[in-house]
Amino acid sequence: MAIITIDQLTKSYRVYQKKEGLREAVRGLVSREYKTVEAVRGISLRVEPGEFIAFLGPNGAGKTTTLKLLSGVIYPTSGTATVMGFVPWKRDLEYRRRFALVMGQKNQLWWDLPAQESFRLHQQIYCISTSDYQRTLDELTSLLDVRNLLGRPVRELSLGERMKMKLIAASTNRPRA
Amino acid sequence: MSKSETRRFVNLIRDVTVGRTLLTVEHDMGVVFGLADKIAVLVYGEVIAFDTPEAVRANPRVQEAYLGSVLAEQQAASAMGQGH
Repeated sequence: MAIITIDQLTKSYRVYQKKEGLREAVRGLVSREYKTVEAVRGISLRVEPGEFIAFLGPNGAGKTTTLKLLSGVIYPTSGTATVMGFVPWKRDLEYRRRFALVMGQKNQLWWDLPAQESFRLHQQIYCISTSDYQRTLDELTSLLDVRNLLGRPVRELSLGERMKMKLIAASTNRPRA
Repeated sequence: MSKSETRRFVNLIRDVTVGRTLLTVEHDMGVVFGLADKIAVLVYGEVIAFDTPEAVRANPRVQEAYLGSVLAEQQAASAMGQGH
């Protein structure tokens, strides 16, 4: 049985068309022109449990928008999707506990603090027991070989080390399925 | 990240997510074709292919979307050359 089903999903944005110059800026205060951008146009997919799916496509193809829809960050314009039986944009607490999203360009770690402080914050947000948290942390820091870096401010870590820490931060809630 | 770093990092992600479902957006073709079970190719908000790496690689719509018609023309020219 599919773990992710997407059926005719669409997402359109209304974008303000700002024109050049002071005169147009003033005119824009009372009358604005908008353009509709169709970021996702009726996609349908089925993903089976345990599959590794890569999204490929040029800039503006709708890859990240699709991931945002599946993680419930944004609402669709039309269509349906379920992940593990949940409708993502309903944002059920139970659903939010069960998946992880890592965005390469977004930093979820406090720059001036050691990564372990950010991990503690995640532990609190996700209400993870201390024993479960410690077990996950031990396992991941050992797997990624960063145990000796936990106390170092994030700004002093290399890019690769920071990426490992982001991965750990995203996994503290032990995403399932 | 460099290509080798990207490959290493994706391998790390695989290690951390063993047995779990994983969706990734990746532009490094080596990583995509070497590690993914399936590839979804999107162009202008539509999925033009969703299949195994081998099938996606051979898909004319994907080739056209990424390489224009150049590859198709080369293949046609090559086929005609073999015909003579």
